[in-house]
Amino acid sequence: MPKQSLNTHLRQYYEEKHASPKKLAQLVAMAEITAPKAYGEKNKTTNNTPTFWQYLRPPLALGLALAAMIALFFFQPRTDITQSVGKEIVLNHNKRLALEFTSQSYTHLENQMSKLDFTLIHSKEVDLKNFQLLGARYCSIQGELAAQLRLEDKAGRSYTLYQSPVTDDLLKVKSGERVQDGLRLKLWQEAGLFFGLVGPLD
Amino acid sequence: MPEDIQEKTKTLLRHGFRYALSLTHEITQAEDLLQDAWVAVLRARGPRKRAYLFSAIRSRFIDQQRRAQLVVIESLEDNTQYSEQEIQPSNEMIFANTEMLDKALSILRPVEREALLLSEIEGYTTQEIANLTGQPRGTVLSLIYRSRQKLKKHLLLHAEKENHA
Repeated sequence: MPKQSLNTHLRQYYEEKHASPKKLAQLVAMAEITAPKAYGEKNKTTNNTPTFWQYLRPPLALGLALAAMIALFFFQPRTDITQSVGKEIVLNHNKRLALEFTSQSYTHLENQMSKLDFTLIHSKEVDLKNFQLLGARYCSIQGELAAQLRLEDKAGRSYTLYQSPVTDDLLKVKSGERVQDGLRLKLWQEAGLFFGLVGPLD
Repeated sequence: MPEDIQEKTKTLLRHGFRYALSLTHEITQAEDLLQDAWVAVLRARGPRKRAYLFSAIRSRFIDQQRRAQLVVIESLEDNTQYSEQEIQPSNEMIFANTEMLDKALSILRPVEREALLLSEIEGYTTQEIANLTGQPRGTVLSLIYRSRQKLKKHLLLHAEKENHA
């Protein structure tokens, strides 16, 4: 270095000093990942003290989640099992599917319908004097194998009688008579079986 | 990253490195110190400004020295007050090479090298240095004056020795 002012010496000395290009590139690359904070944005690292809302946030979120769950529980559309079973029975009745077994005897049908894991019975609710048994076919109620018996009254009007074991779902079905889709529907339980009788209105 | 911003970042980092070097007087340590401070600036998403980076470098340097149980901020030996005029760089020509300067600067305390770099190279005003270092303006003036005198004395003495040799 020639003779020059102290200031110039110092300037030259420090200007000659550099971080290694590798280190510099590494630091520049780090800067590419993060952007500087926008104007007005709060400094999250310098102020670590939680604000009032930050304190409230977890219980507030929990409360909102609970409220949502309660609302969902109370306001969700309930499927009424009685309504659902009633619709299923009426629909099957209206389909008028062909009988698989033709007989006027309960005992005879019982012997033929070997897949049933229950015994067909005469229900006290169905007066045999008024109905004639035509035959039966397999069906299902709420996914459970059931028997669908075709009956006819003296006027020649068709009725369908369903018999099925009482499942947990069918246990909840309210017994009684009602009009559904223009048909008379009667639901009841008897001797451990579930019954459904559907036919025309009087 | 656009090229102009990349170039600005590089320039900022070069300034940061020199400032870190003025404190550590050792290249590897200066690089490490710069990296620590840079990571902190990026994490805080702070402004990519010289003053902010210098402040981060300084606080990390003090932390490092504290951990090493070294005293960094020393009070001045005397309370002599100097004026702005007194600390203006003189035009006196001095012979020095890099090695001589390196040795001379190693004699100075970190705060003295820091004050010299900020005033002579970075062009900081006395008040700006006072703001950055958290020292009274009068102390900064003394620091600059005394460190320059110390440096000059060392270089002149060394140059004299070389001439005799």
